[in-house]
Amino acid sequence: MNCKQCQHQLLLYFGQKELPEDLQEHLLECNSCKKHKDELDALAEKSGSDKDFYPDDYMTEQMVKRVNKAIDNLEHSKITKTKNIWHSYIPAAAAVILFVGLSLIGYLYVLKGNDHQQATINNSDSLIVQTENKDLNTEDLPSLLFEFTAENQENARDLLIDNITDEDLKYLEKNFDVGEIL
Amino acid sequence: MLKTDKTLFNEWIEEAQAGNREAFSKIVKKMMKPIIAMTYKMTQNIDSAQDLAQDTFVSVWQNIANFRGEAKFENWIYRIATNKCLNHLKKEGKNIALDNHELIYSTNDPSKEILKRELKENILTFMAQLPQQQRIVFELHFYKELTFENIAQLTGKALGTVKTLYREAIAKLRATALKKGWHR
Repeated sequence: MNCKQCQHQLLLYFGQKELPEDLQEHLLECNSCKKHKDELDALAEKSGSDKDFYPDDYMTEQMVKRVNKAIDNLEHSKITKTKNIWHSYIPAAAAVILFVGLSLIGYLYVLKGNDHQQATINNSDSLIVQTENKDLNTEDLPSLLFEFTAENQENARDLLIDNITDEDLKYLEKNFDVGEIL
Repeated sequence: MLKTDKTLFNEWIEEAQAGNREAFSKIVKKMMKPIIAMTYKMTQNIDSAQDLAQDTFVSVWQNIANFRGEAKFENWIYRIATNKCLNHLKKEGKNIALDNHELIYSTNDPSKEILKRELKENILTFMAQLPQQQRIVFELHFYKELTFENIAQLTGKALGTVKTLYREAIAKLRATALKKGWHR
């Protein structure tokens, strides 16, 4: 190690008591570098320690209180913010619940109507199936139609007309008094 | 058996992580002095130093649950304080004016008071001349006694860069001391 390298390295060890072996060896032989090191050591000592810059206990105590207060304010503003969020969301949540509730009631109402209509369709379908299969006994038809309740007769008639094909109609006209049936 | 300071400190950290404010208050009390010493040396202004110390601890509280213990807890706080200082210096501009306020020292001995005042003035004058990055590395290595490896990790800089910054800072300190006669 030469003097330039030694002095370059010494800067890195400023303030440290333990030095690497190669540095120590060079310092033992070189007075110029030893002088340089002593100068840096004196400067490090004069630079003090971190404790020299510590505030006193009173200031420290005041600062601890200040930090606690700042955190209290932060927590408080967080709670207030959360409360405010709830305040603004409550009307929106109520509107959503109302909408969902009304939609559900409407849906159930429609579902009930469909069931009723489906029952009518099922009845009329069985009639159509029987007529298509030509298995229908002419004596069975009036009794089959009488199975319709008074409430669904009108619907059944509409549905029967809607679902009946021209071929079916011709068959019915040929074999039955359609006007009387409907 | 008495608990060691380190064990006690680790317990406070765990309790604070669980939301215990009292435990956090103890951490603040323990770490306040080194943090103010750091923010004061960095900013040279006692009001800014106090504000930055407060911001540092508020951030520590907000993020303490995320502290996973990969770094030493003190180093983690220094990193937060360092970032606060750097952001503050960026906002305020590179030039810092020496503050008229004085830190209140614990000693009542007038002769020691004069020496400390002198020491403080010399160091603050020197640090004011350093670029921000050199100032940070000098503070963390010389005063906070962090290793270069830790500083590299903490600042996100390469190890070689950190060493170079420290060497440059000490070379400037030596030049300033020679010029002003501090070394004698």
